[in-house]
Amino acid sequence: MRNRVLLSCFAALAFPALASAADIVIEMPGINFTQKKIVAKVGDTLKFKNSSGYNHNVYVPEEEIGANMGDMQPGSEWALPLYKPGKYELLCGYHKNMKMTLEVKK
Amino acid sequence: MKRLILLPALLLTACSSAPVATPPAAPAGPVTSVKYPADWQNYAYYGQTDRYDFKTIRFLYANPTAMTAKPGAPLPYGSVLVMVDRKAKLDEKGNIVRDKNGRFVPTDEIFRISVQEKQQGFGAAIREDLRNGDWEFAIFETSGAVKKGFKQDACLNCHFSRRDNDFVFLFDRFIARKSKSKRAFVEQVRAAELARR
Repeated sequence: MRNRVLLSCFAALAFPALASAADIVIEMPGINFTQKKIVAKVGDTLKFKNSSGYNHNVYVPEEEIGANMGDMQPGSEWALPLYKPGKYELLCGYHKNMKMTLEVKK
Repeated sequence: MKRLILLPALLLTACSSAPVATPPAAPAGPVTSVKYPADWQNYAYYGQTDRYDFKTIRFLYANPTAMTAKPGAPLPYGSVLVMVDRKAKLDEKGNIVRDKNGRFVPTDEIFRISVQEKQQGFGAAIREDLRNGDWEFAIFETSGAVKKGFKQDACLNCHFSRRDNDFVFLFDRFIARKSKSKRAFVEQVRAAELARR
């Protein structure tokens, strides 16, 4: 028991981001994101839910993340784990006015 | 009698809740005018992006003509942008393996080679509502053959949203960054290339 407690304490100290990692849900109910700006932490995961009737293509152009979800069909869900702090843009490849900003803190 | 039989049949058809088949959309245009750029490996590397749906890493290259582009201006005729998709490393459960920065880890296996090329006269045969200026697209096998069943429609559809940026997604950003800090950027690209090897 004591070992388990010690191990948990060690894990929390060694990996603070993982210890408090959160899932942040971003819905796409139409040709838009539900949020305009998100502040997250390293270790958090963005969960995209395409609840619209349209296909979307979320991508992050900045090289530090450099992610392209590809063709996101209606009803599909995608996860983007955050590893690097910084300020980023989230865009849709299909809809040029669909965008939001993301700030990832340490 | 014949009319009596036909009437219920017509009513059934009209009231049916089955989806009405829509005629297939007219093709965007010819298969492609783009030829396989056999020397793409000599082009300048300008970035990479992890493609989640295909589980690939897309390496981006530009030919010397494209590299003369100016920030905020359309790319010159003769520009060729190449996107080489390499399959990502997967664990035994099929999950994507990531490096310490969270990026996909590329294997040597090339999934496909996508090319976007701008030439005078290109695009003339493309349907007006999908036309990407003087750009055309193609996806090739590593042999240089056009992928079986390839149609430009998907490429044209997606790149059409970038019509205010000469139909490119990332190259305009690269050119803007390059002009801001040319020397620093060259060092960054070299470091990225070295890290990739």
